[in-house]
Formats: sequence, structure tokens, C-alpha cells
Amino acid sequence: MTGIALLTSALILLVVGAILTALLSKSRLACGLVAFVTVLIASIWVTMAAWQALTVAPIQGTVLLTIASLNSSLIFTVDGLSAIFLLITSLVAVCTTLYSIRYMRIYQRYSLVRYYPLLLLFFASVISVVSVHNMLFFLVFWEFMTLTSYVLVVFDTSRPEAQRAGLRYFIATHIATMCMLVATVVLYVRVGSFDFAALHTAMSGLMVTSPALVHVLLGLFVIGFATKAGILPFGFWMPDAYPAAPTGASAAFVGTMCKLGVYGILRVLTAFLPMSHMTTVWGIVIALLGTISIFVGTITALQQSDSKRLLTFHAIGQTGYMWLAIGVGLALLRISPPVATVALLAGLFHVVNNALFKPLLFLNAGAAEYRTGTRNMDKAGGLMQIMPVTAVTAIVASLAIAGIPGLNGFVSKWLIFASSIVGGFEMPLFVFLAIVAIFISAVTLASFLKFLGMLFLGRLDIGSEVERREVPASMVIPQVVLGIFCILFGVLPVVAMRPLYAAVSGILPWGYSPAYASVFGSSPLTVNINLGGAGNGAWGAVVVLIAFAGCLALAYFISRMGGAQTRTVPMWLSGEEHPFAEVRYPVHSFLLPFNRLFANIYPSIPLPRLPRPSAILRALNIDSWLYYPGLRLGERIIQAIRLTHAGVPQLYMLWVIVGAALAVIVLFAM
Amino acid sequence: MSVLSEISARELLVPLVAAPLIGALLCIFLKKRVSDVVAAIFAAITLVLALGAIGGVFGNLGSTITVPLGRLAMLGGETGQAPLVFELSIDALSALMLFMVTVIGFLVVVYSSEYLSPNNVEHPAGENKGRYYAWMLLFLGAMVGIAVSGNFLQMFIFWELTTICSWALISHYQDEASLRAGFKALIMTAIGGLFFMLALVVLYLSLDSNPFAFDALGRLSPEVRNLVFVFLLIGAWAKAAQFPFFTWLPDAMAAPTPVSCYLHAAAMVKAGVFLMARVVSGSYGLSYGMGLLTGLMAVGTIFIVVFLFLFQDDLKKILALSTISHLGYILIACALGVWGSATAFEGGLLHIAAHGCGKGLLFLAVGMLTYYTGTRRISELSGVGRKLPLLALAFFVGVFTVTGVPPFAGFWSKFMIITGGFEIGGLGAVISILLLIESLIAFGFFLWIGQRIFLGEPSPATARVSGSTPIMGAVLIILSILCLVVPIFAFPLIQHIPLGM
Repeated sequence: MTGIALLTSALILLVVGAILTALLSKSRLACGLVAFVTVLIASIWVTMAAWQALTVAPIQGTVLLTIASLNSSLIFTVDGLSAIFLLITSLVAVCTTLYSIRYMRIYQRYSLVRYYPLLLLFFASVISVVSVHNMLFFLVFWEFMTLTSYVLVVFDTSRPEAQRAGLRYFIATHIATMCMLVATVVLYVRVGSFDFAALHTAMSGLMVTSPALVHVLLGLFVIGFATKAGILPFGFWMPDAYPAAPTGASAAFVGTMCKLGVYGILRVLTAFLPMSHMTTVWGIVIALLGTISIFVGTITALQQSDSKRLLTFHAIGQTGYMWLAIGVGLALLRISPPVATVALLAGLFHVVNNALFKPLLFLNAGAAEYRTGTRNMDKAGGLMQIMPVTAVTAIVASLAIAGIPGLNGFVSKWLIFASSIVGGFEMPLFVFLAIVAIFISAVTLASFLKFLGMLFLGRLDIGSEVERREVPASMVIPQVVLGIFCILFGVLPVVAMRPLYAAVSGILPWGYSPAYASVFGSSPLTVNINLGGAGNGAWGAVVVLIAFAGCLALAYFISRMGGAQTRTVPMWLSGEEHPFAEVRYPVHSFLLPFNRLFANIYPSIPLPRLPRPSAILRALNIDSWLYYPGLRLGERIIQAIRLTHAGVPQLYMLWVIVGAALAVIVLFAM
Repeated sequence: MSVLSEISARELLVPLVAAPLIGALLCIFLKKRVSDVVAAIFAAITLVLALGAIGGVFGNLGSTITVPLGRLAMLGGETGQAPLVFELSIDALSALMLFMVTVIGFLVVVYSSEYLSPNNVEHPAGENKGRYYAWMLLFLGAMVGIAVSGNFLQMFIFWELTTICSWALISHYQDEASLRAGFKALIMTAIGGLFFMLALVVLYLSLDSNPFAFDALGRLSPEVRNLVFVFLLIGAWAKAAQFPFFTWLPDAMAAPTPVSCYLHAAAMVKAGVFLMARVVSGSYGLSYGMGLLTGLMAVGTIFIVVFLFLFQDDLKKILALSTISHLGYILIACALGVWGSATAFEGGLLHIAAHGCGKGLLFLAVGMLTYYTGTRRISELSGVGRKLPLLALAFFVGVFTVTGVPPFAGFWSKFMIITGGFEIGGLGAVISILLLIESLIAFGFFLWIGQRIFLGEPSPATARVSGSTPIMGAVLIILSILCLVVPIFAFPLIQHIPLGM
């Protein structure tokens, strides 16, 4: 099959699967299996299509649907950038659906008809969003994605806070979509088409005639994508909404939807906006917004005790890294092609890495919840002893997100820091942003040490009713798969960087980016970064890891030769032994001075209650002051006239005489 | 092929109008189950005939099929050329209206057979079904008549017929509140009808030939044209419950819910906007000021209504208020059409279909809700989704359709109206942004209502839900699907509805 046929059939399959799972929802196991098989096949097809787009040539389909009144047609198109997002969507979709089969047992009370069909439609909409080059259909699929994810967020109907979170989520993102819709329509009316290429023409024209309007439109787009991506302050809804969904869905959200904010901003600012001083301006804005999110999101994560909420705040922080990189890249587009390309590549690479370790962390947290029944990290600990595989993958993911060398997070963060600092030669601001980002990277590590330490390491601390064994294989496999990818891209980053580089060059003007080899060298094992005099560096994970392994082996041999012994002793505190429960270090005690310093960095602003001025209500009730009084007045007038018709002949005679007299007077007076 | 379908469509028009009227006559004499069946059969016949006629229109899009029936010699005047008064005709605009009227009419009749029963907790009633169906089918016939009328005068006759049906159907339960509401609706819409008649009189006096034809406004001098337009607009305001006439519609919610659905969401109130669509579609040279009047009044109505939302606890009244604002949307689309935006005008026409399906679905969902729980106060309901999942699904589909969340029909129509506003620019763009703001407020409010009622733990009113209603459920499913697919049907039609400029 051709690439586009694969993509289309995958979408059809997902929709059919959604209908099937809806029909099968009574039988919980069959429903999950059907969903998994559907997603697996669809993902394989999508992967093949994306691979074709990456390695052969961008693929473009035929017209599937035409709306003549709006002069637009639905055509699926996959270029390098789309392909990257399709690949991560496929992987995340398979992992989360497989994971959900057993995980959803903790929602025994709820019908699955509100889970799997929506999850499949959600994946279908994500795939569609990244494979259209028509802004109308982009918005349609975008909002459909919001719709499906909203239903998943409010899945747990018995928790009022989940519903509030869902409501806030949908309203916030709906407003964001309306912002983008306005911007799109303003461009559309100038060219009469929603195609990306046509909107580019419209924006080029507008830049000459009314540059202020272009800034407004770009602002609307940025607000729209920032809201979805969770960039603060627009992503305020996110810490409540993502944890509210079942973990399979939360992991799918962070792995796919959250990243589409990055996709959108890249598309709009490269495909719509001609390379100009505006790109620079908005690049700086995006970098600043990203840094704010990095700072506030990650610092706030430190203060959380709910595992999924902690991870969601990190999602905000990590998306901030992507925005920082992309902002730097866009700002430098006109100045330094190599640095700009590397920065954009770094942002995109961080997207991919995030789509690996962030869903993995959610799956870890969900596994802990599945086993212990709680997400409060104070109430469970030491799970490594009963769930070793989950714990190991959690360690891998935590170290990856913290940017420990040897794992994938390090490479992308390193590239982000490098490009920001080198970009600082042109714009000193970026050096400052890079310093903030590096500092927060350490905070991330601290935060994940807390996550790991509380939940997985230390002494086993769970209720007596909890089963003491690993989560089922169908929940372990997705974690292992994602963990392996984290390690793979950490050890051999070039595997990922080459296609990503091609994708980045694809969205930039032809011939703009230097060849891959001239920036990163041609070695398959090491990344030799060369930014033209300003900055050079190299990272060869394999070499470093071999050296590390050698050191470890050496240390092991030394300890063997010295005959060192390990011994286990009971918990000891201030001269006496305590029961474990009394001395357990609670979550909120971690990094206390630090948290006090930043206690109010993420203020919770209560929604104002709407005043209901009853005076206006009375004014609007036309019945009460116009119609009914008017009717009564009419009635009174008629009553008054009725008095003259008393039924007495003499009275009528009198009226005749009076009338005649009046007539005579009037006639003579005239 | 097209010739063949045109012939058959021509032959279908007369039976199409006659079928529901015959059914209405029959139903007067029937009772209980028999009347259910007979009414459903006649509604189905009407639907089939209508679909046949619409098929004829699809076979030859862009043309008008006309069946002349008779003249009134006394209207001949001095020239002796009596105008055609009775004629049936069907074009793309008629087809769109006809489709909505007959499909929703059929569904509502079927739905009523289960709704009007002793098991209904809110209004346990199974009597007077014959009378109910008689008025319902008469109304269906009148609406079909409005849709396929070939001129303004005949449209006016059916127009007034719907007013009478509305009075009878609102007062169906014959308690104090419903009698008052029916009377109020009758008075207010009749006042609007008088203005419609005034417009006809002016037309008749000003034009020598074909004074009631749909293109008559284009042949008038500009001053008279404005006058006639304003008279017709006032008629439409009263029928479509726009400011300052909107107060009858919330009161009319005393009617049985299927009636509210059909008359006050899908059909009768749409007659008002249908009239304006006819005028805008057929007339040339409407002035900017007329568009301004239509548009600003509609925007005003929309924002008055949005404010009134926040005070309502009665679910049906909220739907009624929302209907008012959506009719305002369509009138805004007409205004933007007068200003020259074909996109907005087509969007408004699409909104007739989209809102008819969405709001009809919402009304029927609320009807089912009250059938089971006996209350329509938002504050007394919660957790209904646990008990009636299908109902919850239907309600949310309705909410998303009406508020315009893709991929449901309402998105496309609202999007086109808003795009049209931006095409005009200036004031048009301002109106579009105001519409977006209204849309967002309504969206937030409806989403909140949906969550409040259907999610959460069941309330006492919800806990006593029992029984099953397969027919009502099936109707909700069909309408939900329509909410998704109706643009596929409507897009080809609206492209062939010309915009007079």
C-alpha cells in the first residue's frame, strides 16, 4: 500500500475500532483487547506511512472531502515534521492502550464505553491534526481532539474535582481554539483559502499593509497553542485536568496532545510567517514564555504530594524546555542558520524524548496506584521490593527527565543549553534563559529523587491488603518498551537526530540549513557539535558509558579484593529505635526551605462568582414593565368608555346632543 | 434523469401538503393507541413524499419546480391580471426547510406516542391523544405549506395557521399556566402576523404584476422596499421570538415537551427566519441600513438572552432562551447576506438545519429526562448519566451541536457565519467577535449544565428513575446521528440558494 493509503486505512480502522469497542463495552476484557489490536495495527500502518515520508519523500493524498462554500478540501499530507509526530503518537498509543487493558480494572464501577472508544477517537484525531495542511481541518481535528480528551478527563464522574477540572479544561481550550479560529479567518478572507501555503501568502501581504495586525494574529496563535501545550500562564488548567483522567489516558495526553502545542507553533511560525524581524520578535516571546514555564512549573512540582499531579507540573516544565529551544531557534533564524537549526532540532528532539519518558513516568505512577490504590506518595513507599521492573523503568525515566548523561533527556537538554548559550552571542538574553534552564534541570533531579525515593526506594510501606507482586505483564511491557527507547536514544542519539534534522530542514526554506554532517559530524556513535567557531563540543555516549562501566568494574573488584562486607541494620534515630511509620520522611518535608521560598509561585486564583444584578433582570423583563401594564392601561380605558354606555336611553340622547353641539361649534369655529 | 425526477417532484407536491391535513382530520376521531399509529403513518407518508420531492430538487439543483393551483379574480384590480395566489413550488431553500420540518415532525410524532403516557412522571396523561395528534399533524401540514409556498400571500395563510396550532398545542394540558402561555403566544405572534399582512397590502398596492412573488421586493422603489422589509422583519421577529417579542417563548414552555421541540426549536420559530431568508435570497437592492437594523437587533437579542441564561433554573426555559439566541444567529447571517457575504448567508441557512437537529435533540432529551424524573429544575438533578447513559450521550451531542464543537453540524454553520462577518470587515468583524463571545459563554454554561445534571452522584430525583422507553431512545439516537451528518445533506443545497444583491 502507498503511504497515504496506509494512513487513511489506519484512521478508518481507529474509527471502526471505536464503534466496535462501544458495542463490546459490556465485556471488559474483549473491549480492551479489541482496542489494543486496533491501535496496534493502526500504529503499524501509521509508522510505515511516516517512515515512508521520512525516508523517501513527503506523501500527499487525494481529496477526500470538499466544502465548496469554504473553498477547502480535506487532503492528508505527511512531511518530515508530521512524520516525527506520527511516529511518537504510534508508539505512545500502543503502549498506553496495552497498559489500559489491566489498569482499567481499578475503574470497575464505570462503563468502558466512555473510555476505549474515546481513546481510539482521540488517537485518530491526533493523527489527523498532524497530517493536514489546511487550517480549517486542522482546527476541526484539533477541537475534536479536545472533545475526546475532555470526555476522558471527566471519566471519573464520582469525583467533583475531576469534573471541575474537565470543565475548566474544555472552556480554556475552547477559548484558545476560538483565538486561533479568529486569526485563521482573518487570514482566510484575504486569500479565500485555508491551505497553509495560501495563509503564508496572506500573512506576507499583511506584513506590508498592517504589521500590527500580524502581531495580533501571531499573538492569538501563540495563545492558542500555549494553552494546549500547558505553557504558563495559559496552561493553568493542566495540573488539575491531566491527573483526573485514567492513567492510560493521562499518559497518552502527555505523550501526544501536549506536544501538539509545539507542533502547531512550529508550523505557524515557519509555514505561515515569512522569515523576518517578526520571527525574531516572536521567537524571543516564545523563549520567554517557555522559560517562565520551566521555572514555575518545575518549582511547583517540588511541592506536590500526588504523584500524577507532580508529573503534570513537570510536563509543564518540560514543555517549557521545548518552547525555549524553539523560541531560540526562531529568534536566530535570520541571524545564524546553524545555531537556529540546532536549536529547533534540540526542541524537536526534546519533544521526542519527552514523549518517551513522560508517558513512562505516568505509567509508573499508575502502576503504583494500581497496586496500592493511592496516588498520595505519603501513603506508599518502597515499591521496588515488590515491583522491581516498574521501579527500574521509573529510575530510567526519572534520570532521563533530569538529564543524566547516558539517557536521552541529556542529549536534548545539552543541545538546548548549547544552542541557547551560543545564541547568547547574538542575543545576551538567551544566556540568562539558559542559566535558568540549567538551574531548573537540577531542580528536576531533586524532584525526581523525591518521586523515586518516596514511591519506589526505601522500606516497603503499603497497606496489609495490598498484593505483594509486580503489576501484570500487560502493564509491565509498555513500561519496558518506553524505557528501552529512553536508553537507546541516550546511547545512540544519532539514530534519532538524523531524521529529526531532516524534518527540521524540511520546514525551513530549501537550502537554508547546513548539511547534517557539517554541524554534527558523520560519526554514527558520537555527536560532534560544530556551530561555526562560536561553539564546539562532542558527546559520545558509548565511549563515556564504556569508561563508566570500566570504573564500576574496577570499584567492584577493589571491594571484592578488600573483602568489604555489607550488613543490614534496623532504622536508628536519635539513640533509639522507632517504628517505621513514625519516622518516615513525609513528602512535604523534602526541600523545605526551598519550598517555603517559592510557596506562592503558583497562585491558585479562585474563579470570581458572577454577580447577578437583579435590576438588569427586571429591566429585561419587558413583560413586567411594558406589556402587562400596557394591557392593564388599555383595559382601564375600555372600562372608562364602558361607563358611557349605561343602557339608559336618556343618556344616549344626551351624548347625541352634546356631540351635535360640539360638531356645530367646531364647524363654525373653522 | 433530471427531467424524470422533476416530473415526479411536481406530482408529489400536492399530496405532500394534503397528507398531513387528511391525517389531522382522521385523528380527531381516534383515540389512544390507534391515534398513535395513524398519526405516525401519516407523518411517515409526509416524510416519504417530502424526501421524494427533495430528491427531485437534488436531481436538478438550482432550479425551481412550480405547480400553479389558482388565482383570485377579485385581486385582479384594474388591469384584470389576477396574480397567482395558490401555487406550490420547491427550490433548494424550500427543500432545506422541508427536510427539517418533515424529518423532525415525524420523529416528534413517533416520540409523542411514548411521551404522552400515564407513566410520564411529570405529566401523567394519555387522554386527548386524538386531539393532540390532530393539531400536531395540522401544524405539520402548515409548516410543509410554508416551506413549499410559491408566494408571500400563500405563505402568510399557512403562517397564520401555524399560529393557531401553536395556541392549541401550547395549551394542551389546559391548566392555568399553559392556557395563559398559549394566549400570550397567540396574541404576540398574531401582532407580528398583522405586520406581515401590512407588508402584503403595501406590496399589492405598489406592484401591478405578481405583487406577492418572492422577487417582489426587488421591483419596488427603495423607500417602499425598506418599508416592506421592515414590516416583514417585524413579522419575523414576532414569529422567531426576537426582541422585543421574545417573552412569549419562555412562557410557551408550559407545552408538552415534544411540542416545545417541534414548534419552538425546529419548525415554527424557524418560519420567521425562513421568511427572512426568502426575502434576502429573492430580493435585490436591500439597503445597508436594513442589514444594520436586522443585525443590530439580533445582536441585542442574543446578549439579552445570554444574560437571562444565568438566572434560569428551569431546563426547558434555558433551551427556549438558547433558541432565541440561535434564531438571532440566523438573522445575523441574513443581515450579513444583505451586506453581501454569501458565506455568512449560507452559514445561516445551514444553521437552520444544524440548530433544528441540535436543539430538537436537546428538547427531546429534556423531555425524556422529565418523563423519568418529573422535574426540570437543574438544582434538583445530578448523576443522571449513571441511570440513563443514552440520554446523557444525546444531551451532550445536542450541547456540542448547538454550541458549535466540531465535528458536529453547529460548528460548520457558526464558522461560516463568523467567517462571513470577517469577510465584510469593520462592523461585520465586530459582530463576528461578539458572536464568538456569546458562543463561548453559552458553551461554558451548557457544559456546566450537562456536567451538573449528568455527572456526579445521583440525586433523590434521579434515584427513583425506572422503566424503559425504547421509542424515545431510538428517536434520540437518530437525531444524534443527524447532528453529525446533516451538513453532508445540507451543503449541496445551500450552495444553490442564491443571494440577492
